[in-house]
Amino acid sequence: MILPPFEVMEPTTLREASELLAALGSRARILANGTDLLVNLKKRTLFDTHPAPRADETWAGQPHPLAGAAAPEVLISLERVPGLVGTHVSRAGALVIGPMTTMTDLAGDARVRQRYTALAEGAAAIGAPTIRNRATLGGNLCHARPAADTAPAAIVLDAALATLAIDGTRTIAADDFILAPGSSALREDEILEAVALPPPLPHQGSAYEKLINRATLEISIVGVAACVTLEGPGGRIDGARIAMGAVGPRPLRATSAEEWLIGAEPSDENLAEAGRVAVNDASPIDDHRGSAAYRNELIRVLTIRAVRRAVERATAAKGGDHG
Amino acid sequence: MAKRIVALSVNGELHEIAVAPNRTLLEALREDLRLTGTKQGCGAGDCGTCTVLMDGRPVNACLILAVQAAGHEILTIEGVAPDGELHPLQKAFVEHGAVQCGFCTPGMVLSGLAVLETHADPSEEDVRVAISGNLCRCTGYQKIVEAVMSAADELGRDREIDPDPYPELADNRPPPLDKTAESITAWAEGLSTGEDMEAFVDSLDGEGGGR
Repeated sequence: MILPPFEVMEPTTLREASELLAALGSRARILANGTDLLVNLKKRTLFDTHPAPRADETWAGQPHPLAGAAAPEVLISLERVPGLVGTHVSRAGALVIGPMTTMTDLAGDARVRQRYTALAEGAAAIGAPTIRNRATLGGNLCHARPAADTAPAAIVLDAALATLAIDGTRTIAADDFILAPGSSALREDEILEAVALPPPLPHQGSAYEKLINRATLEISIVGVAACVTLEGPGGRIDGARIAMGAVGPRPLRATSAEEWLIGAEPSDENLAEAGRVAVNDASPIDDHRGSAAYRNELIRVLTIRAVRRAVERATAAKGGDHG
Repeated sequence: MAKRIVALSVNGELHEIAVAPNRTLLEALREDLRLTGTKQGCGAGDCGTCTVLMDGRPVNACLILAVQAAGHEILTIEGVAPDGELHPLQKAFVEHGAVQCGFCTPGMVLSGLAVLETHADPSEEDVRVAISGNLCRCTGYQKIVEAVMSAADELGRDREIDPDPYPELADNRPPPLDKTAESITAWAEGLSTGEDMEAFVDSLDGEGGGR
């Protein structure tokens, strides 16, 4: 597959990048490391001899990734912008992650693995080593696919996404970020600058479970992330956040399951009921990866598994430090 | 779509080549540098036959722009046995019959090399994960895994992991910013608002109208 023609700009600061984006509008797209964008551009070349996908066109049973979108004339590469890779702990104890941090680095980061385990598991579940060595957290979130593996984790960990535009910055909750397939809350002129995870609470644990047909290079049939806070080891559930991927047009919160669990003992019966009610919060579709009925069964099972492992980790976690 | 000069560090040598902005690293390697050991397969990151090591990590050369690769150290299959002497991993591929049609072999060797450079004592699981992005249409995975495990034995499973296995690549590492980026910086320094961008936007219209 061959890329269509485009110009590449390589700004060296985020300010330059945001100025370019403001000037070019929909004619430009931000290029992180390209494992999604370049593939989509290549597939677009298939349409050179055909009409571009209509706004309502589907592809593999889902809205077409490029539906209604003109291919960009300019890619604004973030490759030469320093400071967008890696993690650091803010003075307030939040973990700040650069949007160009790769899945390999995220999955291998000791703090992410210990205190924000669902995100490490989501990052490790993507693609294959060759993809994870390039795919970035910012790219995965901004690409805004309902099956994005880091999105449910970012939602249950209550991530805040900091954006930048020439007229200022703002913060978007991960829960409000992905709106529809391929569509995020980012305005056309905004760049994702950082992802911040609040300091872990004492006795908090998280997990991400997904089911796929093979271990690599596969899009989730269903993915479920859970973050659980206990009163203390062996105690009741103080807080629960559950988010599901590939079960609707955007990652969805399983609020019924959360409500069931909060204040409850983390018993097998309560976890089983949480799995049963989580199904009510989803609206899966039939597609080539699985039927809606199959997905509903997966939501039940994966919710139980994710909550159980989050409870185990919350039990083992000591306090709110970064371990 | 004017071409620009990029400096690519490939197998320890610095190459300055003129590439279009939409040229992939894979195209630059195969067509500009005539390093045809790296193969083109699916072109979409699914098959791994274009695997090269970028700063020591396996990546799909078909999903990286040549301009993005500037400033990074690229190792292709040609750099694994630069003096014609096969690497122990390549010898193991030969001895274990891990090469059938051969099309996936360069990528398999580079993914295998990457796991051997990060794990002195890899488990079979480590090896299977390491090559999980590389498809073998001949389905010869078992022998490929055996070859990588055998090479780990040959290299010594108690060996120390070298944190910088290719110092000669680092020696030739070009400055992180290529000429184009510097000129953009200079051009963008005086910008304060989008108004200054009009000339640039107009130039895009004039140059390509593009597609």
